[in-house]
Amino acid sequence: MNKSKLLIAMAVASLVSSQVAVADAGGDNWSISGWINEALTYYDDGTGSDIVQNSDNGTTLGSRITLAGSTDITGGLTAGFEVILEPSDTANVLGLGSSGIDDNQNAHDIGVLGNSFNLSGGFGKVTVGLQSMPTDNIAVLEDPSLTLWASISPVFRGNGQTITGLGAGATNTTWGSFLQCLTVPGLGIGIDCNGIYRSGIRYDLPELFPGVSIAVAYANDDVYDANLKWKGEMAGLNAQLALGFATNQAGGTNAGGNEADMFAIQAGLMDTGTGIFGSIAYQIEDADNTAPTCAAGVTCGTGDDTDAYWLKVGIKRAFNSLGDTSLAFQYGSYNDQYGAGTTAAVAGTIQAGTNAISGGAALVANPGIVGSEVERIGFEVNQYFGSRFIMYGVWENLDLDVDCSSVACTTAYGGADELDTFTLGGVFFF
Amino acid sequence: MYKYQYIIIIILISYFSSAFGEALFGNEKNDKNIIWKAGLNRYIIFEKQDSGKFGKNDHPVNFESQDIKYALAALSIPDDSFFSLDDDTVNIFTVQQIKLLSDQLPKGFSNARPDQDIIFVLEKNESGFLGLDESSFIAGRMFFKEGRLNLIIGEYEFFRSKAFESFYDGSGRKAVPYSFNFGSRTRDSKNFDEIFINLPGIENKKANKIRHDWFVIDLKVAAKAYVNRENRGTESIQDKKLEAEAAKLARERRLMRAEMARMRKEMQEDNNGGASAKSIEERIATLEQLLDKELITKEEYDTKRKEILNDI
Repeated sequence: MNKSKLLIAMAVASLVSSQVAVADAGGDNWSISGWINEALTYYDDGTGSDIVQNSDNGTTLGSRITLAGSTDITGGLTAGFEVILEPSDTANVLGLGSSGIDDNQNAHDIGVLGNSFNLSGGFGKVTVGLQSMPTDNIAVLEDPSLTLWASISPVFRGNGQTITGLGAGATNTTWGSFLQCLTVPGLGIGIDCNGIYRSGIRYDLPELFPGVSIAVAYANDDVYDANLKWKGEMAGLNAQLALGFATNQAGGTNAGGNEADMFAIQAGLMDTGTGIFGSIAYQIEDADNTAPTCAAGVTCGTGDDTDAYWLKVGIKRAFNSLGDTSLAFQYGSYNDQYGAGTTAAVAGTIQAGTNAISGGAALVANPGIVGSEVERIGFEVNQYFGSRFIMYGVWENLDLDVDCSSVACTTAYGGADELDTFTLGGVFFF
Repeated sequence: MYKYQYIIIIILISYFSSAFGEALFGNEKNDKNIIWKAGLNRYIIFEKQDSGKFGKNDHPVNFESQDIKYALAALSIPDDSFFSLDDDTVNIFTVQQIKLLSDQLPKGFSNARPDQDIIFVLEKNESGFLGLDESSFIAGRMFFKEGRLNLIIGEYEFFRSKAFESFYDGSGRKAVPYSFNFGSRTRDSKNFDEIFINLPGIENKKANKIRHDWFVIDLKVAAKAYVNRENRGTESIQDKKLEAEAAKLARERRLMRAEMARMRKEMQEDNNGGASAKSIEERIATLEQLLDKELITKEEYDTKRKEILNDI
């Protein structure tokens, strides 16, 4: 029984067995809400430095305006809609990609991030349209401090920035070149590899067990995914857990194969008394390494699997009268995300990966990349002003290490400079 | 294996896993702490005291629902909304919240242990600009000490971000685990700069300085004072209505007397053939106006009409 059918079977089983009503379905209402997220970033890439004002955080937590509403219809059903508009830097319209720390950015545009309708009732909720899928943000949102705008597991800051210090044959390589996803190519950055809104249908099961939510979905093209989330208390601590599984039956561009799968998990704990919190996210991808166009004897699809993890620990409490303050440290490791191969150009060589995220040039077909690691460390401070406004300051450092099996590879990728960013940003909720 | 057997296995695994999880993580224990709950962010529950510095609470306690209803209704702050006047105030708790608390707290406190406080998070929904829904939370902590109810408000008008809720939880349950401050015995939440308390039985806690977020309430005294104030307010309103009515009648009588005097003067000038002499028709028309306005009696009208006609 293949994975997609398994997911469908799980959905049907739960639907048949459910008797629990969905909460909060009552009356006509509509709302306009959202947030605006902007920042100033100082970067130093080892060669140059500058201060840039950019919209921060890419798609996931970038500015958005959400129009939503619902109405009760016959038979205990509630119908609703949601439209999400995303004002952002022009380069980020439709949310593909993220901040490239663009010195020349001086224009904004607006795109439709989401557009869907839904029906809900005792059976759960069905949503059709452009929407966030179950595995979207599985490894992002289970940070109990909710200080997401300063840092989350995907690498938004600097992924479009060119890596300096590289050798001949590796020009125009960006940090995003080593943060690529296999499952849904170009649409995730490090972690969160099914991380953009997709056109499809999603089913949220009713709450079968306290604190547990389950969702399954199908999206274009042939992407099936499911999640399970739980919130509750464990040993007196607030606890959260999210698990997600996605499979791309069409293979995706980077995979060059028949199928690519992703599994992600994030867990978070917080002691509300002291304010100490921690969150850890882990993701693994596995691509079918069979590329029909690969010649026999040639290594094809160098990125046949990737894994990444990220953790954040800190403290959040009201130290002053303004509101909560949080201090946190983060560390991330993103392994073998240099992209899978396309067709073999020359027997015995390693294929280039594509660089769909940032729009920069593809990794040059250099022989010898057999592994990569991008390490990220950071420190942040968040200050809440009441419950409507957050200011944050965060320092992040990216460091690249490439494993090579050839001298040419070492020459090209061995001398990468680190990238430091210092960001001061704010988020206003409305 | 046949496909339907996969389905059965999935169902069984789901149920057993959840039961195991529930046992492991102690959901049963959580249920005992719940006094009232409607969703992740709306509840009234027992919780351990936030500080033992002030000693154990005087729990369990029994009191009337009505007493706490009046006491909570008396708590108000200045209304700083755009269209408010300087003297306007707004109640800290809405009518629905007061009803909920007055229904649930007597039950809760009758079962509370000395080492337990009762904490709450309640939501307020309002229709705002263009009919858009706006929501906010109020959160706080309550306990009895020295025979009086202590209420500490940790969050007031905590903004509910609907966009973030739908982003965080696509299931529609809006299950965002907001981090609420329930108020602390040892730290001022600084939600309020000023409180309007003008009622016996309610005062702010005084420690090193006045804690505007902490109310100490003698329920019986406050309830009685509130009822008396409302009754006096009702009587006062009636008195004012009567006064206004009387003033209106007096004003109308003054206007009528002035009108009558003016018309009599006109009539006198007519009789003397003065500069304002009018035709017979006009004089009779004036007389009819006076009669219509009841400024003269029918007999006076008839007498004067006869006089006018005799002038022809």
